[in-house]
Amino acid sequence: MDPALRQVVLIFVEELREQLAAITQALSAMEIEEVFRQAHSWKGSASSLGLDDLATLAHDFESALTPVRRGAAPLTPELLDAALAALDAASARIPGLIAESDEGASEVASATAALRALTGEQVDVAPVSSSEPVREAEPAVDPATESVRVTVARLTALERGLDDLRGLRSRLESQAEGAAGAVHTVDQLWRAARDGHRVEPGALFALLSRLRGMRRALVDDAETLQSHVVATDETLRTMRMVPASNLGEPLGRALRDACKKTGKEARLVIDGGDVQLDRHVLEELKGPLLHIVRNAVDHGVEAPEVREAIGKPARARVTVAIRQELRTLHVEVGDDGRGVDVEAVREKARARGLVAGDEELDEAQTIDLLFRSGFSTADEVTELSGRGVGLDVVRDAATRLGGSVSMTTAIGRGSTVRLAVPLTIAAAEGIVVEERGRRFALPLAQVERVVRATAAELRDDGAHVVFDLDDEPLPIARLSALLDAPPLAGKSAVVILVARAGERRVGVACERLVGQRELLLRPLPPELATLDHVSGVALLPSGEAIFVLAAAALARQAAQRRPAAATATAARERSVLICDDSITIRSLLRHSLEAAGFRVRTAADGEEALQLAALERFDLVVADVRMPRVDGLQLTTRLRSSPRTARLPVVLFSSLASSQDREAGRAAGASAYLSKREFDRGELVDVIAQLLKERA
Amino acid sequence: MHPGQPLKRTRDIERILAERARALAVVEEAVPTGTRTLAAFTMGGHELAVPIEALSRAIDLGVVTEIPGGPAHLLGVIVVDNRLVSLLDVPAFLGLPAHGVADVNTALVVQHGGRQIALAAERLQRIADFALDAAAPRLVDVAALFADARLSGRRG
Repeated sequence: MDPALRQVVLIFVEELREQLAAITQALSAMEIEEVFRQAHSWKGSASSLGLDDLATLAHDFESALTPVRRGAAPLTPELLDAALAALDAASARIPGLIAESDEGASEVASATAALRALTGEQVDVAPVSSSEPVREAEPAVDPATESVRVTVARLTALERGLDDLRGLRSRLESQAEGAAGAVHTVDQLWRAARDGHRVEPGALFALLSRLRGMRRALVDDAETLQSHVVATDETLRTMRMVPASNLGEPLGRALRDACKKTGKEARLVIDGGDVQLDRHVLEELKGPLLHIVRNAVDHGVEAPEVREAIGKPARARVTVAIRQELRTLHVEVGDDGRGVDVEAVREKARARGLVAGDEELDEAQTIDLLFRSGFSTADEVTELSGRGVGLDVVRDAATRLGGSVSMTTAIGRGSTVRLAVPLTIAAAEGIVVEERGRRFALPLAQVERVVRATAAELRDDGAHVVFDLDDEPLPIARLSALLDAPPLAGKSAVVILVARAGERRVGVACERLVGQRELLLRPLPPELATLDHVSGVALLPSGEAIFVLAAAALARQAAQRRPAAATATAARERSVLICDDSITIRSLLRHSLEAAGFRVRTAADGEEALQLAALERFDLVVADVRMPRVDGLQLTTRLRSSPRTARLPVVLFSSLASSQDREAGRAAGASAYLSKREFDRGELVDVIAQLLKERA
Repeated sequence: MHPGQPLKRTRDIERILAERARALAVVEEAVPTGTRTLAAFTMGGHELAVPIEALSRAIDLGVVTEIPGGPAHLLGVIVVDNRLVSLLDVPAFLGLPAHGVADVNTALVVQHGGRQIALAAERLQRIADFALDAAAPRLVDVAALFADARLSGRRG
């Protein structure tokens, strides 16, 4: 066996042991989803290594338990026995894998046959295939139950560090005793002075010397502690690291499979396999890289006879180059195939209405279309890649990791996809900013510089917002837009984080720079994985959660032209401003009114609502009464006092619903007063419709 | 059993498995109509409930971080035991009409298959045995919640 492959098999063996143990535990707790999650990983890993007997066993294991998972059948003793026998058989196969022998193979075959005897042939679990869509292949992984392998040397380093910390603790305890003695001395001197006794200068000097010594010792210990924190952080970081060469085997297999299916010839060249990267990053990158390699063969590489006819070697070359720059990992996958016809992409995009007929797209913007979900220039579905190049999968993965992806291409010479992601994702330095009281972060590695400006210096030409930086227009993404808040105007101070995402730059405009912070990064829960503009969540040491922005997505949004059609549509819609300090109520009302066809903006209190009302035209306001800063009654009064909004209908919507409360609302000028306790969506919509009709 | 330990079933696990298998095999006869222990809560004017076995904990709601550009049924995220958990508005998620609203004070953290989500609650009413009849609060199927494409992370 190839030494590299053998190393991977040994890693697989360790994983398999853990998976089998986890499945047994999950079975005992009847956590059937966990059983399937582990079995799916087992199946996928075994299949990718060509361990077909174990992959088949895992597949049949899933098939047998599928009716239980669906609630269509109970877990009978017979089925449980067969399932456990399958786990035992897989375990029995492990010595054979290590010894590269057939040991345990017959047990696996018997267990597979036993499972099939129970299920018959009605197998409907998706088999593992090299062309299985990446997005559907991996179930959610619970980070809390993941494990990493640690060398004894690294554990020893941690243990030594712990010993040093114990010594430090002893010194600090000793210093605490010394401080207690100093306090006692000060107390005595103070009492003496209070009682009119003369305090000897020599006693004071002795105390001063003692305190100076203690201060020096404390400073030294603080430095020692800091060096331990740095060393421990580094040790923990390296514990999560694995060599990039781990990608070689699965990528090589994907290339071989793709060539076999297409009849093409290609060889894989990997450069930079010794680069160490975070295990999570490697796992996230693996699927997308497999997809890129398959696509390179399927869509990029020409057939051997075609290549020879145009003077190229019959055997194409697919290169994977991995390198580290500071704390960023760069991965480039290139091929020497036919390249992408950029003009064909433009035409396809226009034909599909993705860009306006008169909109000019440069090459980078055009190629970016290939990263959109479902976009393709391919006319036929291929078994290998499906319809479309599927590069949206790659971009999603890069975004999740807080990185970016780009592509360059040349007709006849091939294409190169470039990924840039953080080397590690567990902790990173970030720039924290604030917009309307909400905090966001951008990884420091993506921020080139910070610029201060005024809101008036941001130019809005109707399609884009730009800021002139060094005589170049910089596309701007406003955080206020993310929050559905009005943009700052006039001389208001604006902070612009100039961020780089691959080949693009974007200015992230916000209200306030909070500062640089160490971010403890957490992956997004699966239900938030579809949010393009955030790459993760960071927990600050205070326990506060803040969203980490994806510079690449913001750059795309900033570069995209705002469609004129949307403006025209919006103009026909009735616009309602919802003002409530409870996000629950805002969310509920927004949901209800948007479903009824209204265009909705929201404000968190009366002050924010007044700012919005000064900038935009609304047809009606729905406001809570009790709110911070400016309450609903004050808001109504102030809207009535302005000629611009004097006739604007205001519906007060409150849990305060006594006759006095209603009278106070009427006195302030409210057009209607509704009780939250009696909220009915139909009634609210009817009231709004009636008020708008009266106003018209 | 710890990860990495060679697979060897303990007697305890075998006993548990045997008991569970017996219980599951006769589940229909054992609970013909029956009662179920539920945590009942109110949200959006609806009385809802989750099975107690799915409920990880009920917590007073502290800081909720709004999700910029997030879907209407997710009110935000909260931090529970140093982990990030999304706060779900069940009536909005299920498309139930709202009948009165109040501030959300409680989060019911439910788990299934290694995943967690917090259900927003105006009030946790009680944890009690409920007869599974028409008078029982509307039962939230936790497994179905996680299986729904809107919470599974799959793009629709």
